[in-house]
Amino acid sequence: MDGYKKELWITVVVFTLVVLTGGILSVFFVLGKDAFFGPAPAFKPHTHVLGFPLHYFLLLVFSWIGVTVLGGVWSFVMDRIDKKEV
Amino acid sequence: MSETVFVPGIIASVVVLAVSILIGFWARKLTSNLADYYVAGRSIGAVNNGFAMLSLSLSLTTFLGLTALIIYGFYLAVAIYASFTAAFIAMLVLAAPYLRRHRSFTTMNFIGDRFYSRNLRLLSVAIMLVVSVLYLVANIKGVGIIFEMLLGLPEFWGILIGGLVVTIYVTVGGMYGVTYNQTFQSFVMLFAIMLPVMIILKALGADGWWFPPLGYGEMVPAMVQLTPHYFFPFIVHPVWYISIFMGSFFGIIGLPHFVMRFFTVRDAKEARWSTVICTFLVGIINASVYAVGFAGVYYMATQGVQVDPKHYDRFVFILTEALAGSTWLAIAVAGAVAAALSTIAGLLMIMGAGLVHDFYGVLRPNTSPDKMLKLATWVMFGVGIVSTLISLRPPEFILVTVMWAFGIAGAAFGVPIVLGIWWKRATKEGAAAGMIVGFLTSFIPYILIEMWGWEPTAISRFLYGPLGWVKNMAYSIPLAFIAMVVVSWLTKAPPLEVRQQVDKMHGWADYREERYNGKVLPVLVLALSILVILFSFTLYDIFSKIGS
Repeated sequence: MDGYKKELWITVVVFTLVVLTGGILSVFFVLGKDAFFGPAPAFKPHTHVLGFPLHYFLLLVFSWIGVTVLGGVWSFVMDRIDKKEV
Repeated sequence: MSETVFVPGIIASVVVLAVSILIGFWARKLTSNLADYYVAGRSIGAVNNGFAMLSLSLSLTTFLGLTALIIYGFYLAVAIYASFTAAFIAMLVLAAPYLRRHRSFTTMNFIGDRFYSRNLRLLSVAIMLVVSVLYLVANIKGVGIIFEMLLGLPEFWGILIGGLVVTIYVTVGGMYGVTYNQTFQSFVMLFAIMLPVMIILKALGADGWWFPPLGYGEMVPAMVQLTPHYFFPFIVHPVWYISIFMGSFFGIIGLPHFVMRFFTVRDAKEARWSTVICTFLVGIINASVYAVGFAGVYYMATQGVQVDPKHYDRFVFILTEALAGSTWLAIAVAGAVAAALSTIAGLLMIMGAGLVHDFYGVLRPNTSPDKMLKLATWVMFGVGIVSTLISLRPPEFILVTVMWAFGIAGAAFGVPIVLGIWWKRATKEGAAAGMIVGFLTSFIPYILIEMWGWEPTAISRFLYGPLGWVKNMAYSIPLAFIAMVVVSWLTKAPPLEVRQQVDKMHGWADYREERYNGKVLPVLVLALSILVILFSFTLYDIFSKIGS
């Protein structure tokens, strides 16, 4: 694939994943539409990971470790693209 | 913590202040020209820059504001900082390495060159001053709070001493002094927050005390029983979360003192990896501070201790003193002082560089480099003194002011920077429209709400609920995007040498017209911006009830 298109696609994919892990994932997918669109949210966490409610755990871990890993992968790939173009 | 002078804390703080000044004088020897003074000769490596960015990122709001916010409204505070942590990677993939390749000194320099406009460069200096002053006074006020609350000395002296120390080492050492100081202060902060938090968690009975970010899970059931709403996230409209995400992601790109760090590194690769290192470290610290907020509520609930709500922002120190002892409290105080100094230094640096390089340098382009260097030193000193004096009448809430700064910077600077890097067709007229719309739609609400005391709902009924004004970012940033895309499309394409800049920023030795010049990106940006604005006008009837 053309280096330019590769750069664009990788950046789009990584940015989208960062958006998801940076809060949207937890807010919209884990908590669910009923919680937001219902007349009065009655929320009680059922699933726990390492003792934390799932939505909190995802926000805590993915917004930090998840994005760090994504950033590392993106940087590694961009380093390789840079070398090839040189 | 008492009304009397806390000697161990004063000693620890004096050590931090003295080492900072020494580093500033040592760094003077490394500085021989303007590039050294503004961007440390573009010689900083990834690890050094990563640590410097860490201390720049962790202002006093981490030590003071965040714990209070966690105790008041837990999930919202964690959402703010989770977005802030993730925003570093957004900055990485959207801006950092490309800005480094542009070889500017400042954000204003970048905007002036990329949008081929002297007037836009001057306008961006004015916006930079507004954003930086907001961020700065909040942090200098924090030093005063530490002196008064924790060391038993009047707030006035804290502001004066903290402001003067930073002014001295920034003026003397330039960007070398700022960088090495920020790295030193990062180590102080890591040590000063991680170890006391470990001791606090151990004292409260957490088995995972040795890893604070995830070390308090087994205390959760007891907490949920004691405080059932602790993990309850539904007191705000979902747009609130989108606003925080947009404010963090584009605000961090727009804040000139963050961007300036990327101009100091050796190349784009170092810019990339320094951001990854910084993100990991920021996450460790932020997640540990969440543990302090959790421990604060748990401590009050299980020990029967009552703390006045107006003292919630001292919880790091209250718990450290109660559960770890005064020696650790002294170290935590030193960490807080380090946090404040590093952020203030970065802000003074960008304000001084902006006034000399982007304002005076543009109006008097024939000034010799030697004269500019001397002028930069004196202006930096003047900016430090004036900022310290302004901070003697600071805003009431530190974190709130910083959040406004993020919102204004995101709308006024973040938008033109991102489109300037990724869209060749972005024109100077488009950038001007985006910057002006973004600035006015975020700064006017700040004036009305924070300075004139208006209720946010008086501006728009959709700004209801806890921290409801935050939702203003869901209008201002998308409006800036829309203005910039539409006006760019309606005006003449940028000249060839400007379009070539875009390819160069992305590392291409050759030029191809079709790169970064498609219609998909602007159409997508328009569509998403309109969707966000429309979404912010929905669900009012349901969420106004929840919010109230």
